[in-house]
Amino acid sequence: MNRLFWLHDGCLRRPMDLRVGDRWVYIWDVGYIHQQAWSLKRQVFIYETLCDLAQQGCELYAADTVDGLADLLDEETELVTYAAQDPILQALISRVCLAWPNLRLQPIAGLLNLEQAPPLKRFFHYWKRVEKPLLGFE
Amino acid sequence: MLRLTTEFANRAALIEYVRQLSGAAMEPVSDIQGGLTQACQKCAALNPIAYQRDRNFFTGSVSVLSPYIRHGVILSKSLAEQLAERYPPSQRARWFLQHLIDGDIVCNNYSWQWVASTFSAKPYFFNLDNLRHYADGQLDCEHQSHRIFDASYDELSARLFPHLTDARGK
Repeated sequence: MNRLFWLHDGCLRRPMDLRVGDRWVYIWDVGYIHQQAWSLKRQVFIYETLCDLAQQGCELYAADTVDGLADLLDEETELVTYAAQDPILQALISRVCLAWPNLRLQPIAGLLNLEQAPPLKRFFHYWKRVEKPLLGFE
Repeated sequence: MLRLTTEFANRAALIEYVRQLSGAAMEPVSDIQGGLTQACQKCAALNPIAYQRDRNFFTGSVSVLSPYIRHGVILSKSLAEQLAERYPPSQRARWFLQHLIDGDIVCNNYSWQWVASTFSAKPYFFNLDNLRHYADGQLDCEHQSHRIFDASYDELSARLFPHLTDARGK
């Protein structure tokens, strides 16, 4: 099954595990941009990054995100994207997920994989746990 | 669906294209350019020693990597790996503490608590002397509207939070 990687503004980079037949796209969604209230400065920064990605094969479109993805997807294609922290972006991802319940949401890559650990309440506790593996003392 | 243009004669043409695309008002645009190449150049130019020394000053040696990290152009993990190749652990330690971890959205559940004064019973504020110190002569710290903050921390605390009690309720 081929895959369509939907890049959003929290993951403006080439997917690491691209295979032959995969496509990767960014959709410039003016409604979403207005919702984010991004300055022209921010928009230019993102667009310059997109031009860089386009040179590597990323496809760039202007559309409503859900409508645009509908144009690009067929039954033989899996939709993949990345989790996000930004609440407005999370809402957009939820909207996409409503349209495509099989959307594969990949986790955000942190400095270290702490998925197995319980949440830490203080930075001090976090640092105590990560200092050795992070700085290569182990 | 409209396919977007990615070839421009110059940066001014790109800016105008983006402005028309989203109907944004004309406003000054940053010199910081997007893209992985730019992010890698900034990473290569980074001097952790200078960063440690004066990053909090208005004219300090900041990394300018925040927008690249925020938008996932470069992962904090990749950044850490690049730095690991260039600096020994003793030099990296403080840099990690004060920048990477703080900028890592997966790990950072702490700063907002501090700024929102919910981290402890101690409120978060600064006085005019502190602003003078870090503004490095780049801001008008002597404007009359700032005089209200021209006091010691104890004086300001008493004035701003007259009913403040410590974490034990005293």
